[in-house]
Amino acid sequence: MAITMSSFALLLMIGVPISIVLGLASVVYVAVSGDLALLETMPQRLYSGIETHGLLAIPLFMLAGELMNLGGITSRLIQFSQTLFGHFKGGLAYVNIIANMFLSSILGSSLAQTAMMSRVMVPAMQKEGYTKEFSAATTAAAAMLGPIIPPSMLFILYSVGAGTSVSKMFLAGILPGIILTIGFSLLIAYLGYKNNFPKSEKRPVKEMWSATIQVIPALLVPAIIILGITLGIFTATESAAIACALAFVVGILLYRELKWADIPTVFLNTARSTATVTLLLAMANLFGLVLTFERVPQVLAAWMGSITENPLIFLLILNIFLLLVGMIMDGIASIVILVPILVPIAKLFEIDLVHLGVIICINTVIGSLTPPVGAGLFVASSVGEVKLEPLIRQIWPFLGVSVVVLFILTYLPTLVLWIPSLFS
Amino acid sequence: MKLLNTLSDGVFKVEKAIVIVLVGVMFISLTIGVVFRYFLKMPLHWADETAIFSLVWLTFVGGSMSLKQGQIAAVTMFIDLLKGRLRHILLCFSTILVFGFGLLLLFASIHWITQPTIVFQRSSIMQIPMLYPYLSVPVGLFFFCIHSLNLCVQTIRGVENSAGHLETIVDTVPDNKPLKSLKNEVI
Amino acid sequence: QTSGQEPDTHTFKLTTIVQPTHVWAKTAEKFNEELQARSDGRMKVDIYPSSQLGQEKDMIQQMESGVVDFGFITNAYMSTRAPYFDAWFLPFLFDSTEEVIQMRDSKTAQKMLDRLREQRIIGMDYLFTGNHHFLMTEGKIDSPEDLQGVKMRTTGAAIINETLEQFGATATSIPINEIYTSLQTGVVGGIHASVDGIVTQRFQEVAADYSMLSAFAFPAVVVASEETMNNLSPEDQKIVYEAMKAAVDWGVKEAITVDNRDLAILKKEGLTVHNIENKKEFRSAVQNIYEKYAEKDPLVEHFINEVQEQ
Ligand code: NA
Ligand code: NA
Repeated sequence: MAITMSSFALLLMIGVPISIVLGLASVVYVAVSGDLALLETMPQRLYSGIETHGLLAIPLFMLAGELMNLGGITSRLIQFSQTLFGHFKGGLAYVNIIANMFLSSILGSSLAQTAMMSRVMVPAMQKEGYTKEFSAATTAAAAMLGPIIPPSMLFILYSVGAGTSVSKMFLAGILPGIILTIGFSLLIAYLGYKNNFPKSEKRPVKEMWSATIQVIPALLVPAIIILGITLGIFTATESAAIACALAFVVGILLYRELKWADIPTVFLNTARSTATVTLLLAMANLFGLVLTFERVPQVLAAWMGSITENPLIFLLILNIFLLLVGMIMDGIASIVILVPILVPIAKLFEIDLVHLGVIICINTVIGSLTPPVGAGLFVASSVGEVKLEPLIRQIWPFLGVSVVVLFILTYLPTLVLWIPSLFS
Repeated sequence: MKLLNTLSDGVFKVEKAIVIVLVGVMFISLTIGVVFRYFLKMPLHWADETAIFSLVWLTFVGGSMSLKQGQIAAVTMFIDLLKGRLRHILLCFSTILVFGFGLLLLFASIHWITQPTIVFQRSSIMQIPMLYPYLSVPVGLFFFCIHSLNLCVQTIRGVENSAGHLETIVDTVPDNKPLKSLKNEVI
Repeated sequence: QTSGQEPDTHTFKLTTIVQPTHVWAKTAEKFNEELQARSDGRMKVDIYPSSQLGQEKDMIQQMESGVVDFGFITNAYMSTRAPYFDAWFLPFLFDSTEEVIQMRDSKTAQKMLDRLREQRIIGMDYLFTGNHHFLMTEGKIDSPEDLQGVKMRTTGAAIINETLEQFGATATSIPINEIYTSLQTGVVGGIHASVDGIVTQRFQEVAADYSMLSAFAFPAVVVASEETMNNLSPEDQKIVYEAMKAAVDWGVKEAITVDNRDLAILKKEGLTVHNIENKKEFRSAVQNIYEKYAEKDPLVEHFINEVQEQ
């Protein structure tokens, strides 16, 4: 096992793609253990990790997001937020956060959201007098809401790994998402007061009215997802299919910004972004098989249990561990690798798996904004055209708020479990 | 070598066509499934299974595409610290490992689907031979091997196009259409 | 792995999809105890429950290559690769779990196991859970009409879907971890489930009525790797067979005990349990299904005959 783990680290360091590292490390294990028959079983395992109903929601929500971007929904969400919050001090910063919150109820991924919003919000905020760095930092932080407010790709991946209900996870993400939004807004209020942030002019009522009317079809999509799941009309996967169909109709017929000719590109983008995730999952399954053969989860669980018996201390250790992992590891990779290991341990401490899922996923999104390896940082810095270092300096306060929220949610599980419990 | 590059590009075109069809099939079968179940009260049992098999094919064909495009996530922070010869050697080493891995799994998967017991396996709902979804693994790996061999040769010759995902994410944000689609949603 | 420093020590791997608390996992532990006792500690078993090594199709393949040595594989999966196992699923064939268990040693059931040799695995025995009855969010099911137009969650096995559709129900397959919410929110009106399945997933919290119809039997097939067995000395093979038989004998009795105990728990927790005595209407409605499956494989027909003789 030691050889397997060190080759894992080594391969990662020389820049071999993470999914291939997972596969190669498994091959190294086979070579070291001399059990060549294990190699025979690998293709089958590779295959069947993907043959899971729950995973279907991933391409569907991605497709819905793509269709909605092209269909003109994003711009309407921003306009709507602008008419609501633009005239406060620090108006555009609030608009950024609120628009991201709305967008999060449609998209399941924070990177896509960061890139999209950076393109629009950073120049807009800069024009009103904010620094480029602060604008990019606000956008990157607000996009963290993407995988927390449902739908969420991270939640789907977690549910598949942990065997929890996707619908329950989605419901559990609503309140944490809102709390995070409030936290960021408070931070903006403080910074706005301190740095005397600009505000825009109040919009005429007529304009507000038209923005509101225009945004209704856009909000229909998240409404259908949430209502469909809570009222029990659809499962998560089905609601994703409905969301796609709806996005399609709204984009083509209502806003008329989506063209038939765009469809192949949309499908292609969906396919590529899906495959990067599912291939990683398939390879992680190989590695998971090796870990299980070596009984690593059981050994770790027993070890954890011997360190502490207190679930509160366990959660503290878990958070610190995950924040450290988040610094260097890709979010999706850490979820698919760690969930099968962490879930048995959490069961030992009688921690609710939905609660655990929300904790893990928030850690993961924080990780995407922490140096040295943070995909969210990289996207924000390149799309927003700012240097990494000043961006990181501006992001710290947002990360501080997120960590505070993370610990509140960790030690007040009710905040996570309350909404799901309303429906049980 | 040029031939290999042409081959890899050609395979990529084929892959593109395949995945576009697969996403279409997945979307249509699931939507029709919902419509039939909820509105016509007539469940279509094949719908879910068709969608799942499409996802499987999508994973292995699309996964090969992501290698070709350098869209596959990697930790590049250490290798980026290096310059010159050492960097080149390590990059060559890592691309050769990727190719070797692909080749090994390709052989393992061919061995797997040619087992006589494979014929006993049928899907639980449509009862189609499992060979059809299983084929996605060797086919995807075959494409993967072509792309990664091409990548190997190019890296050895000093053309670096495997620079991890930072540049690709940036590339995929279109310049002229600010709000339009993104190719790389990672989180 | 089947090797160690001493020439004749073996540590086997056994895998199954059920949770460690399930009677099948307990049977696996029993097998380990029996094996150690009968071999003076030379042979033992590491148990991998909860699908730790993958789906059932993975498990079979792992046994084919000799990476895994034993598996308790559900009949639901076995019937996809050996359709004659569908015989166990024939709707309303049995009146009670005890009746199902009686078929364990029947000639046809043994023939089914023997035929697994063609798939490079060895069928050793059967395990059972309580029969599946209908659990509904509300309402007793005592005639096929009660299922008319109801959306029912099924495991997805073709024969079960066909049965429910025969009664005019809409069969839909929902992943196991979504069933609770689906019942709760009314995505489905009911499911077919064993007592044990309900208790572990706490479905009694979201459903009111349980109509005891023994609609479907739900066995598992005890499978061994041919490769593993061939590598054992004849004496060790004998020990393994005897240990497995002892464990399964225990597990079969335990299944009944657990079923009765859990049913009492369900009643106490407020689930209304209906004992449906008259199943004639159900049976006559599914005759065409019997005929269809009997035509597929003579083993199915023999199985039906053997059950009816008992
Ligand atoms: Na979201
Ligand atoms: Na990080």
